[in-house]
Amino acid sequence: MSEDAALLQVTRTSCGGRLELVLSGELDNDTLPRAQDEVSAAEAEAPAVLVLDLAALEYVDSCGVRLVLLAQGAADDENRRLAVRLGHGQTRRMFDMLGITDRLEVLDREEPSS
Amino acid sequence: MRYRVLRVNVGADELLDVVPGVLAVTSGDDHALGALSPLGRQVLGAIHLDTPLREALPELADALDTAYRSGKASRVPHEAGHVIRCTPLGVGPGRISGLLLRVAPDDGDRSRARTAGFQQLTEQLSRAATPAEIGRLTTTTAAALIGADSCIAYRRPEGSDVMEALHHHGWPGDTHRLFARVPLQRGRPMSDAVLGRAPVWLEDAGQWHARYPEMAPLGVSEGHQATACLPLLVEDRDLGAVVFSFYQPRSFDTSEREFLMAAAALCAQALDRARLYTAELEARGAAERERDRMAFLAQASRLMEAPLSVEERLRQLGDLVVKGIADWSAVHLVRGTRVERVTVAHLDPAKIAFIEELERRYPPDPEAPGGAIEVARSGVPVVMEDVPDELLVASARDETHLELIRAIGLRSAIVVPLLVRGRSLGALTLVHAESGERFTEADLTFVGQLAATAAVAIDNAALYEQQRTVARTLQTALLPSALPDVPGVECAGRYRPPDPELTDVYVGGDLYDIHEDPERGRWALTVADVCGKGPQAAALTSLIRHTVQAEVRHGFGPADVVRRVNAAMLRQGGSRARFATMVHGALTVDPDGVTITLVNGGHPPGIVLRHAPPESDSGGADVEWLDVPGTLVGVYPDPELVEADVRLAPGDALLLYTDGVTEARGPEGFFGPDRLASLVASFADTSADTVADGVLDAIAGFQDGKLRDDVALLVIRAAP
Amino acid sequence: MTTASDPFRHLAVFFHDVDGLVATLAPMLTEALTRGDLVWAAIDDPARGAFERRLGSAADDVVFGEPAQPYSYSGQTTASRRADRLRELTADGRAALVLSDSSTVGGPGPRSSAPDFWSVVDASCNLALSGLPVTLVCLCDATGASEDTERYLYWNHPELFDGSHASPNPRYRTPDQVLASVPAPPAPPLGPPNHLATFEGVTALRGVRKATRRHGEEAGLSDEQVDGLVLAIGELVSNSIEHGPGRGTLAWWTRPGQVVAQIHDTGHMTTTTPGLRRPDVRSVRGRGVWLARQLSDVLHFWTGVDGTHVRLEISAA
Repeated sequence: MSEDAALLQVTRTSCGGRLELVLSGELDNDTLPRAQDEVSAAEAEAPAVLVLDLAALEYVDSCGVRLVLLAQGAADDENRRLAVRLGHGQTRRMFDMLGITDRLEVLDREEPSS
Repeated sequence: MRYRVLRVNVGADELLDVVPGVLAVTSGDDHALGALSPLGRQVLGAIHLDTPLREALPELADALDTAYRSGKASRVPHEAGHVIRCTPLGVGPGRISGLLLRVAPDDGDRSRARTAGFQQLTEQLSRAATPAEIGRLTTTTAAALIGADSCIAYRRPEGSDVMEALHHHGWPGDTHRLFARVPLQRGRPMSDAVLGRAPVWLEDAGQWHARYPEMAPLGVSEGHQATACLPLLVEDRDLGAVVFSFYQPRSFDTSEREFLMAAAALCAQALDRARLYTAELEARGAAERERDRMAFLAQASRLMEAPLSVEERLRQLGDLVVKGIADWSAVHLVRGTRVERVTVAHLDPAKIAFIEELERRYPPDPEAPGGAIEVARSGVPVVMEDVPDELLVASARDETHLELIRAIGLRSAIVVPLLVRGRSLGALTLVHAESGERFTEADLTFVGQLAATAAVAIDNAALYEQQRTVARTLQTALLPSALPDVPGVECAGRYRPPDPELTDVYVGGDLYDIHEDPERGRWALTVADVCGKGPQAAALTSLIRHTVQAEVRHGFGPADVVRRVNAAMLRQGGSRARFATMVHGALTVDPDGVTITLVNGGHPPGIVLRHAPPESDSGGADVEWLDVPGTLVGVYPDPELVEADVRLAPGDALLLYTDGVTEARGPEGFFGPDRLASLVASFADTSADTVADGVLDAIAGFQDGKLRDDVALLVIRAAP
Repeated sequence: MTTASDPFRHLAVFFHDVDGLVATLAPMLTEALTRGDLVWAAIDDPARGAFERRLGSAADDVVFGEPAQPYSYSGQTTASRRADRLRELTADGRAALVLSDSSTVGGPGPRSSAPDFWSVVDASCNLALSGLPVTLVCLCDATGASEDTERYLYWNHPELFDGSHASPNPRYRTPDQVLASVPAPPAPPLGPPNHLATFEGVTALRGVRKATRRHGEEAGLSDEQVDGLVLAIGELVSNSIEHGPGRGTLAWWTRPGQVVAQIHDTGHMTTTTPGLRRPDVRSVRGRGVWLARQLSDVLHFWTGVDGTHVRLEISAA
């Protein structure tokens, strides 16, 4: 388990009705079950807004997409709001390629002006 | 308030404290009174505990029994909008131990009212045909049914990510601009409802701020508290959305949600129906337009085949266009390095005059992009659904010019090149102005076809110009270059094509021929006139010439030769009836003169010019008509032909000709046979050449130098 | 969202000589050019010359060449690349007319497998191009007709065009049926790999990714390409583990500027259409293979008695 923890970390913060899960490390089929558990636990608290932050992940593949889409479906069905952060690297590119970016609320949608 | 399962080991008295409006608690199937609240004493009466209510309150007996047996609450009307509700109590399903009686607001009334409301809504929706009407009904009838204070109904155009408001109600006039067109974006309640395909319920301002803090100020503006955003879905199709807003907080419990979703579903189905209906109307309209367009194209095609000059045909095309499919039309043609406008049309001549005056004052810029000139050069069509004002501003030289251009009222334009075999010959411009209609990309096919029709016609005309020169050469080639030397006979043959200014390609159908048949010591002579012009006529003259030569070589007499020519023409067949008139003869020479055995197949009669004896007092010569009867050639299988012998003494001449001579028309009318006879008489005792040239000059002079029809002449003179 | 009837059309035209071909197709081309459609002709030089002569200056607007770089053995890849390119080109609403002559798009070495290759390309096109406003016209040389013609001509073209109108082809078979009958041929053998590793279970994924990154960097691929390679291999190996027997081998052939990887497991590919259709935005599953295609130059699946093989190629841009 400790080895597993090294692969994926989930940090949770909440503020008012808003609950944020920041994922870091690597999200793949190995670490997905733990990520899913964290998301489900957060969902059980029925936060008005749930934020999944994937921007800090070193690696995420289509199972991360699945995680987000399932969370979106649950939010819609349970009268809650879901938002995500995707960063501006490979993760964002993947969501763009699949045509999903526009169907989500992406908090860091715009490029940071530097 | 939601009711949780009532646990059985709560005492009846405790229930009296907990449940609002409670009247009494009973136990057993006789409904023995277990507890009575002060309100119960008031409403039901001072009944002793343990009394079976079946006896004390017989009017309630049925309701009590129903609830007890079925395990479902029953109700009995009570005063003014209230009911007495009998709710079963028990350890579990089927193990009812008693009943709870309480007073409650008349939900039944409400659900009856709702049912009636649904029926009314359904009825009204079924009569509505267009999405706009459905939108209106949604925001008025449906909203009233639900008890919403404001409502907006949206449609989602197919394939679009922008919602368009169909109708709104209850929102102040100026705010509705904010939500006339709403792009779908997650993180906003209506978008979330549409994209998530599930309603968004916001019960009060608190929930607004918690879930949509960014939008809450707008959401709770104008005194609104609760909002419900419902997608309008039919199967898996997104049709739109409806947003209901309430001035009061509203609990959207299960039955509330079901109710609103049912109303939304009704509106969605109606919208789906209306959309299909509108689509059907549009398709039918499109089919009709298509049919009209086919008819139009057919008309345009016919125009292009008319025997008129190119410019005239294009002018007529331009006129046809403004009668049916555009307000303005213009045609430009590429002429060498320049592009010239050949025609501009509008139904109102004053407008054309206006344009012409405008262009006199401000000559158009040939380099202007998107203009007809550029399209004519590039061959790339341009569609301007809405002519942008910037374009007008860009093409205006000054304020006045701009005002004048704007005054034309150009709304929408389409310019297509006139393409043929990959070359651009010019451009066809169609403009909608006062009609208010617009051209779209979809019109390109049709207008392109129209342009193609015109282009082919222009191209053909241009080809005809070239072909005429070829034709003249060809005609000359079809005639014998020089007549053979017939000993003791002067021969003169002449052919003239008609006026070179005529635009038709002229390879005529007249021929003359003399050739030798050495085997029989005779010569065959022929003059023929094939009906029609063009290559087919030329082919037929060729057929006649060669058939005659072949049959003469076979030794056939003149009548048989002509019969064989007739058969050959019939065999040739073809879709158009082709016939010819011909005169053919076999000429033999002897020391005393010339004998010609002649056959006439429907041809104008030949003239014999007799040498005038010097002492004759007629002054002129003796002119004889050779009236030999005979049928046209190439029509009947069995023509009637007669051989007649003509004897020419030395100095006598025979003139054979085609009807281009007698039917030549001048200011004085037809030339006619009489004039011809007099004319020929005046050439008595002259050479065959003189006669031939003389006749030709006279005809040309008669027609003011322009021959209408082609002319062939053959003069045979027995040497004096 | 409602889908209108599919704007993608796939027609076959039979011809006996180039002049006949040009005469049959010239009106269609002229009409498309008049409308302003994109016209793409992947045809051989004699045909090109004939069209240019016939169309004159209108031929200037015709693009000659294959819409996508041809891939010599992978019909799946060819179809997928065409679809991507055409999707890009028609994104602004323009329609496209594509003429495709089998002789131009590479084609495998041995002539006997040519019809199979074409069958795979055409069937894959039917899948990959679905939904795009594209009319694909395949030029079929009637003079070389044989039994094989049946397979690659009649099975894959929903419509037949005779010069004046298109009629439905009663012998048409759906892509799934075709690809089930005409499985993708194996990729050409490459000899022994530079590296061969085995993987087993999801815990192996991290190590596989590390090794992949190393191989990509060694070959000199760009950072973005290396990220893409890692993701693609990650998806494919994940798939193998999840849907296959849970273990397999990963072979590498690397040289400067190019990486070739091949995954093998003893499972059987259940789909005949690996990653050819763009995944529906709403579906939660089935995205990995499509992503892998987008991130690589060539992706080729084949299955045999010894299991399923996937070859991936990526070259430095």
